[in-house]
Amino acid sequence: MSSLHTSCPAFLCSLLFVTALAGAGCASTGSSQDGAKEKDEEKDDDDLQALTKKLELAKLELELAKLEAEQEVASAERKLAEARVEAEKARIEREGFAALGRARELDEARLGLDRSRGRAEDAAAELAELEAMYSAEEFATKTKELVLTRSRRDLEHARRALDLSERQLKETEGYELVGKERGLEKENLSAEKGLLEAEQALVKLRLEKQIAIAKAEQELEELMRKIEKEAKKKEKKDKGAGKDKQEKEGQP
Amino acid sequence: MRTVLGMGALVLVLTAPAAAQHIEVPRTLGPAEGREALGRSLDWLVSNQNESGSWACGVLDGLLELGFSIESFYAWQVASNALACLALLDAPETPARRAALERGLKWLDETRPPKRGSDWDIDYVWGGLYGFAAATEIASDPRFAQGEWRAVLDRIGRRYFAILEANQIPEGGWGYYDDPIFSRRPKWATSFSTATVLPALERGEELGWVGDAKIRERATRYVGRCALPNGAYAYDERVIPWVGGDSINDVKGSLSRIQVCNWALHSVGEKKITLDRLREGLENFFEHHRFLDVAYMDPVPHEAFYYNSGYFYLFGHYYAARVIELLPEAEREGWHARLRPHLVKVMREGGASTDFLTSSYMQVAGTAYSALALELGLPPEVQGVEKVPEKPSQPRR
Repeated sequence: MSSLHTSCPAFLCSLLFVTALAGAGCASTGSSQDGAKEKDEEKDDDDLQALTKKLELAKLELELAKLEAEQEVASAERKLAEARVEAEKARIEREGFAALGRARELDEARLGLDRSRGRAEDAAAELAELEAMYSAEEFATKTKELVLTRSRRDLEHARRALDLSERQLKETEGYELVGKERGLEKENLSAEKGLLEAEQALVKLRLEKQIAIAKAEQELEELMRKIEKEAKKKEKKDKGAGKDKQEKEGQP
Repeated sequence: MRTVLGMGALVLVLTAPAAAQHIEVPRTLGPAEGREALGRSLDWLVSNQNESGSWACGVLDGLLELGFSIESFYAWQVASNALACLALLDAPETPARRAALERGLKWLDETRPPKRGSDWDIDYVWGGLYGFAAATEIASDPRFAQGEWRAVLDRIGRRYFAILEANQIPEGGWGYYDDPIFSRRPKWATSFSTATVLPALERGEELGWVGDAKIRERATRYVGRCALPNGAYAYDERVIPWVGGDSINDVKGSLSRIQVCNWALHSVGEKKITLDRLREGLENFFEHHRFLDVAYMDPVPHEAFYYNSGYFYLFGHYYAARVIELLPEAEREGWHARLRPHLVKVMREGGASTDFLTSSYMQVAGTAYSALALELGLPPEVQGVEKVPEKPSQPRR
């Protein structure tokens, strides 16, 4: 491909030079036969010029196809790399949760329950201590009432918090952990699917781009062959026309 | 307790709105009622002494004081033991009280001095303050001023003075917490804790326990700088004291500090604290007493109006009694008669008093404060055993 690409300009220069010489030779004829010939020659010139332009375009299209192939393949490779990372991440999260996270979340919920139970026991003990403290107290009746009311309320809140912690543990054990596991499994499968799709997309794209470049090269080669053919044809014509002229000029 | 009050001269009943939450109290109580109440509190002290001669326990004995350093409970035990000894010293002597006092003093002599509890919690200073103050007063009593007892008190006085010497902040006061950046010599003090030892420092110099008079001078200046134009004493020394609104530095938040600071400054010769200033402080104490009543037995410090705490109550009444003793003799009984109802009304059936929590050290300290306040207002009894001589350490100014 690169040898074709570099040899084209030299070939075209020589071709255009031949065409110009041929045109200069034609200008010296003057008969009606000569007029018809001139017309033919002009048509040949036009065809050659059109082919030359097509050749230029084909070269640009080849360049474009190569550039597009380069960019799109790079993009697809990046997508594939991202998909690999995503798949790895999903796998680590799933495995990490199974190996560590599941037990930690369960322990956290159990600790929460133990803490709540301890807090409720502390609140009950504090209330008992305050009740004992005020049992012999005759003077600070209002303070006693306020402090004991507050302490009883604290105990009630602590008991409700304990109930919530118990329910939380049941939820965690019952479905939260299973749900999370399934969610992570689903994410892992989805990421693996994404990775596979990205790999396939890259392979497909590479093939498509190879085909596109090959087509562009093929078109370019065909045009070059046509131009060469036309140039040879014209050279032959020009040689024939030169012989006739010499013969005419040689008659008495 | 209600029976005791019923025996008093029920002339007037306090009718302030905040006091309405509490039981009705006669405006005054005479020496007889005071003596009866004192007897119960002294009986409680005698009968609640430990085998070792100590009172209370040196460890956390309730859930409501979690968070302090372990050592602080021991320091408070030491401080409350010193107060209990003082209460027995000032009591009309009986063999049981004398024996309890001697056992208490031996324990104070033999027990180790408390140490700093943590970086921030230096409540061991309370051991220093009351250990030293008690030693100076007991050493000034002729019964203990000579011989072996003098040697015992020398040891106690010097030991607890060492705590004070190490913890006096550069500005001159003593406190019981330190702030970051924590330092060997703390940086925060309060007016009232510093005031508790001013007269004792002077006496300690006379006894030869305090070598440097500048310690007392710096402490006196510290307390003096806490005096506010409204007659109150700032909780602690600040460049710009917090005043106005419901500040603790309002007179209503300073009722007990006014007594201890006035007593201390007047006792060491501070001329600004005139007899009229003492009277004004006492008048404020009784006029606004409902703010101490409301805070009484509230287990959350500084929760009441003007940031009053329950433990201001008995502390303040003890020093109010000491202020009264600085006034001319003729007017003292009138003030003591107004003070007694507030001590008697909070005394429990068995004779114990506490104003904040029922931790063992609080009960010992509260009962001792109450007994001391009642003792100061009672004329000397004719003793069956031995007459208690007048102490030379009583206020001289």
